[in-house]
Amino acid sequence: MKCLKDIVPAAQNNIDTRFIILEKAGRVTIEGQQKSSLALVADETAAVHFQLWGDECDAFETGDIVQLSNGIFSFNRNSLVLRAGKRGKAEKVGEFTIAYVETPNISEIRWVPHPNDSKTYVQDGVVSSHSRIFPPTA
Amino acid sequence: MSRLLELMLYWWQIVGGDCSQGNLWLCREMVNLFMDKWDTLLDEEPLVLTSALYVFLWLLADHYMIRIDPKIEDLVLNPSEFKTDGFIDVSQLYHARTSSKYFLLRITPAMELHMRFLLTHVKLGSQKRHQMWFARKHLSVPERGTLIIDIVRFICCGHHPRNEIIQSNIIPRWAVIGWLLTICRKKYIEANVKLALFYDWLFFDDKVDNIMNIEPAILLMVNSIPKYIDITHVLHDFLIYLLENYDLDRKDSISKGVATAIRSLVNSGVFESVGVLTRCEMLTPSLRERTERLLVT
Repeated sequence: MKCLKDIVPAAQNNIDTRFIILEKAGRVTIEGQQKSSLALVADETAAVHFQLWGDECDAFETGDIVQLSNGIFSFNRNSLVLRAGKRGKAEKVGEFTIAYVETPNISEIRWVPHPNDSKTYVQDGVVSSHSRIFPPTA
Repeated sequence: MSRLLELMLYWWQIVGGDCSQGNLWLCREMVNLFMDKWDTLLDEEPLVLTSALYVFLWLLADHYMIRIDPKIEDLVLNPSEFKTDGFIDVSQLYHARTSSKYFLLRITPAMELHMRFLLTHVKLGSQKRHQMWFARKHLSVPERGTLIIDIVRFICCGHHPRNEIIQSNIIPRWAVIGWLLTICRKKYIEANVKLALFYDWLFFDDKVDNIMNIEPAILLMVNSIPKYIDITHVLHDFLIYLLENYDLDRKDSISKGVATAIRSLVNSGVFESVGVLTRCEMLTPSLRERTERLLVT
């Protein structure tokens, strides 16, 4: 199981992790036949944007602890999101009992292809220390 | 019989503010069970009876305005009416320590888990969401408002963090209590929360009582200066009010308890000196003067 700070963009469903949902975006878009919305999620090491899909949009609420199996962290319309995807699974396994940090936010990091291996990505810099979609409240 | 206690715990969880047929049936059955087995329970498991009494009294208080029964008045005015050997004055009850078992009868296991997690893992400054989730899950039903009183008693007397936690940047107990005070929706609940916070001051005996029980109140007062001076003022004022009004016939005993509490807190280094309060110009002169007078006696 991976900590959020260790996830790296890849075109593979290879991420097993667990996190707590901090915020859900009010805006729900329709992609194809399905609803989709964004959530800010985090664990003890980092935060990231998680894409809720279909029933997940209503099934999860803030404070829920979610276990993600075979998830994928990749670009979706130019923004980096973690999601279950077609092959992965997200399920609620608890609530409340994760202490989290909001920075770094892995979706707000600039990633570039590895110089020697163009299939993998490495960090190139921080775009924003905190989520720009879910800015921290005072 | 311990199964029965467990049952009561679970029963309480569903009964808070719930007047459905199922719940009323459960209440009736529980009362019948206690009446049927009264003598056996009294002999063998008195704790079960006192626990049930605690839960039912709270249930009554949550759902009805209780008319004070003359029997309860007798507790204070005519202790001999109870014909119990050795019980001569209500102050004996004041000084008896409450077993933490009682707070936990109203605090559900999930609530206890979440409160202990908040107080051992969440850092000061990033507690807002956890507090909001706690309130949403455990306190959103209006009839559960009185639970805040039990939670404050639980924090003061039932959760004493280790030194590593106290010295870390984890949210301290006083800060959580400060937050709980701000979410009381009714005046009488707020008053009882303040009483819960100061209760162990009134009868404090430095030979037997734990300083950790009285520490949150002083730290909440002192650390609220100057930014949240209103909280300091409200608590300070309430403490003086308790001294003068909690039990008119036992004012001396209560003054002694509070003075002992303050001295113990200063001696053990919890806070520097009572001057923090008596010299604080943001507090009213009369309040400061009354505090000084208390410590002279």
